[in-house]
Amino acid sequence: MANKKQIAQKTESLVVVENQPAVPIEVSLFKNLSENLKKIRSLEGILGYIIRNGISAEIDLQEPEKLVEYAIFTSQIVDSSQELAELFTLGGLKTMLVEGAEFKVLILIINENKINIFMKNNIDHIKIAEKISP
Amino acid sequence: MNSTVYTSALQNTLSEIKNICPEVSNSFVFNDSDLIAKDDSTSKKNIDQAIVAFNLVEKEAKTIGGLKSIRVEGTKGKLNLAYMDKFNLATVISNKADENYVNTITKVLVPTVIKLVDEIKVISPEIEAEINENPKPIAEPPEKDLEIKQETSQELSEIKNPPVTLIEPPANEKVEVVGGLNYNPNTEDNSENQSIEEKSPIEFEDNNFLAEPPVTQLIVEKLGGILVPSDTVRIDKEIIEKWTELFDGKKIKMVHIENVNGKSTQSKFRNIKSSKHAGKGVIRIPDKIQLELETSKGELVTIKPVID
Repeated sequence: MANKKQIAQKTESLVVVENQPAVPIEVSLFKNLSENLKKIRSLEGILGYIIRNGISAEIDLQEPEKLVEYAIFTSQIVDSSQELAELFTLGGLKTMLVEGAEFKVLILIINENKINIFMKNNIDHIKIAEKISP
Repeated sequence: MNSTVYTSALQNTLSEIKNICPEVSNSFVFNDSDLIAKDDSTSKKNIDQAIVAFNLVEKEAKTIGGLKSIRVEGTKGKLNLAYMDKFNLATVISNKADENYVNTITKVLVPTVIKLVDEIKVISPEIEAEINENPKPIAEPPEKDLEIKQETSQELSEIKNPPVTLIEPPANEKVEVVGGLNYNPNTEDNSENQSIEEKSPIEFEDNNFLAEPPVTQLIVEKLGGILVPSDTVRIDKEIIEKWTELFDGKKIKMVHIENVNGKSTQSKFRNIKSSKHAGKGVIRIPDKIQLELETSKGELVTIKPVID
């Protein structure tokens, strides 16, 4: 009897978890990523970031007037990368790094969240990526 | 030099990279929208589409001051694009590959090959220019031609025949150069040599062996007096002796005198008797010749013997 009761309790608790709506998980992930981004934003050499998903977006740029320019550029990177991934069978996109003469852009795709981080060329982007998504 | 040289060199390089790193599934090199080289496993259609995708990113890259590299990481593989000075190198590797190892090879090997091709490209026009600037002389002046032909026949005779002791004849004698030498008439070299012989005169004129008359610069001194002939200049005895020695057997009756402006005349000459003027590097010229030469005392003139 005691064993049966225990099983029933466990099952009950599992049901409760499965019935949790999907949106809150995404929201919490977005919140976590956003907090991590805020932390790395204070680091020297980080010029700003853009994080967005289907519901929310957050922007923090050193030069806000360049938002449209940056948004178009990063959008083009993602579009081209998707095409390249299809052509050369790279699978689902995870990260993209575009280095320029002045600075570089790291794009991370974590679930539905697309994160663009603008940083100086001397910044270790691998460490930055680890800090955002441990 | 066009891009085919780069294509050939880079094509081989990409093949070698694939041999060294089998994890490299695709690689190609392009410039703007032109494909320069690709490995065997990559289709041109895919590359063309990829180049368009790269160029779209590059178009917007002014935001970051121009593109240096693109790295795309997927769940199955990675793509790296390195923008070099002239060309862009794209490599696709599997996630199992040691990315650092592949990058080390590709980012060293490909630029080195490009640099080598560039150096060949730089050297080639230089050599071409040098050849154009200093073409091999086709026609030599007659005197030089004669010398070369003489040497050639001499060299050939040394190769084909045992060494012959040559006795230098006197300069004023007629000399037969190759008439007495034995050649095998059946050999090709000899036939060429014979044609050379036909072109070159076998007998040399006496004048060909005469030394160029030496030119001596002297200072003009006036020569006057009642008994002094007006058509004769006086020069140092040593000069006359040198001429006699140099042109042995030749009669030197006249001297050619030229002033600094190029005006010249010929006159008889005798040696200076006066110890006052002897050995001083002067030429004593009567007034008549001075007028003719438009020169005067203290001016410089050059003299050389007139050989009969």
